[in-house]
Amino acid sequence: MIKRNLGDRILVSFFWISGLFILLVLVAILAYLIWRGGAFINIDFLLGSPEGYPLGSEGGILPAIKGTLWLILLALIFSIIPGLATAVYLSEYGRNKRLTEAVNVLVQSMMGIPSIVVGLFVYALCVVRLGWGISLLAGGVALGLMVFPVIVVSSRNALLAVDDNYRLVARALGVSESYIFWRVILPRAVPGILAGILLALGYAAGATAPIMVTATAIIASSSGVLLEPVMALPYHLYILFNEHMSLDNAYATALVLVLMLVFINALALWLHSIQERNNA
Amino acid sequence: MMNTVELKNFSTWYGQALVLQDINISFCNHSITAIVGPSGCGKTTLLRSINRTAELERDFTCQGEIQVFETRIYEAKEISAIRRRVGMVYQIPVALPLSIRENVLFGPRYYGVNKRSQLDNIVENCLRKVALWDEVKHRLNQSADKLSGGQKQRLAMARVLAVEPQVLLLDEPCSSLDPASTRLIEELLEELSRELCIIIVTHNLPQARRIARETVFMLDGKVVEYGPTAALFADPKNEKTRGFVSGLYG
Repeated sequence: MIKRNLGDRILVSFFWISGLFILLVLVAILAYLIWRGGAFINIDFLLGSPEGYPLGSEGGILPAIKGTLWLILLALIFSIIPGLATAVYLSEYGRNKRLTEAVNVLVQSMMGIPSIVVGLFVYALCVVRLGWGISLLAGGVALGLMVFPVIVVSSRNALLAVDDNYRLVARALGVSESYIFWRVILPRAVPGILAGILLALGYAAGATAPIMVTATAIIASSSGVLLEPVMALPYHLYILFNEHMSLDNAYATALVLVLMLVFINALALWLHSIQERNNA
Repeated sequence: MMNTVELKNFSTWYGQALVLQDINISFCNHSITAIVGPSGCGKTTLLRSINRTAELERDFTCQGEIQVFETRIYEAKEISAIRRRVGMVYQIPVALPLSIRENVLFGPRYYGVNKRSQLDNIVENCLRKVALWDEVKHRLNQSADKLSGGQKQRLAMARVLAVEPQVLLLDEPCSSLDPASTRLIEELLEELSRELCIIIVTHNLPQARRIARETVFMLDGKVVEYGPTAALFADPKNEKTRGFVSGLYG
């Protein structure tokens, strides 16, 4: 047996206890949700609409699921193209440039903007000024704006993680940067970029503040019409709890949302591990 | 003998720091020239200046001129053409994350070669030139990642040869290889020097003595002594060269 000194042992025990504590909290949340809400999840709940009086005390959550899916779809459309373009500039073209440092700081600061502020900005600009009203489109813009820095940072890091020697030997052959990018750099970075997009997707799916002022209604069909309000899982959950409509349905809704997020994040982690293996 | 690469009053800076100071030197065609000197003397910067990759570093500036086959390369508009004519092999063996075949064809495909028979020819010729063909001819489409360090370095040479350079620069190409792989690469360089101008930076003085017809000794960004290898090692004119080749410092 290897003898460790006392200081090391205390430190290692502290790490273990901290890790176990976090794990315990996560397991407890999931277990509690399953215990309180698991029994209420069935086909009717997943495929039905809110019913009863007050509305939502009975029935299902299909419009909220559909609304959340529409919202994250729009958020990704609005954020992926500018996000990836920014990341490619930062990692491939803007190296060693002052502008790049400025953009990095800016993007990092964007991550720190409270999501409700993003929501209010989009409310003022899109909902009121541009006259879209409370709508799916406005919610998509708000969520897109919120996850844009996440996509920039994760994609930039995935691109920067690709071995720099590839760029060096390729440049020395006289080939162009875009040729190197498409043939070598991008294929290597794809798993990491996808992982970042999935994380952003999970972040968008769980966000409540930006959409409650821009997109959501207590009841809507969420059929994908851009200028109509939608329902969304986190907002529906908030209403069910806040108005004490149905705690059973609230727990069941929370469980559906959490399972969705766990699935998305697990997928992201898996993709991330592929990227790490690629660049090892 | 025709001078292939010629530097005239060439100086470089990274930011404010002077790296190369007033270099005047010319390299012969069909010959191997070794550049030796202690770490940080500017050997690598000199090498990278000759195919215009030194300027990829931040705040690089230079003065004076370099001619490659009579072309003043720092006045050329097409940097790409310069880099194609002056190939570079680096210290760390790098296989691009592609198949062995696509590693060789990475340059040719960019320069527009797309006929199947031509591509096949390039692959076979270049791999034969670096004595890799027999080792990999049955697995050309497999990932190049699985090759050994020595094989990767020879693949890197094949990748450079595939764009038909006139000058081949090598920056300590054997420093991470075992003696057998090193010996093989030295033999290849001697073979290749029949058709190319080869300039090699090396920390390995015996290697310079084995393969280089001429040797350049650099110190603190300046060329201290330059001449036929045998003479430079046996009877150095300069006190500092004498110290270096006898192992007093470096």
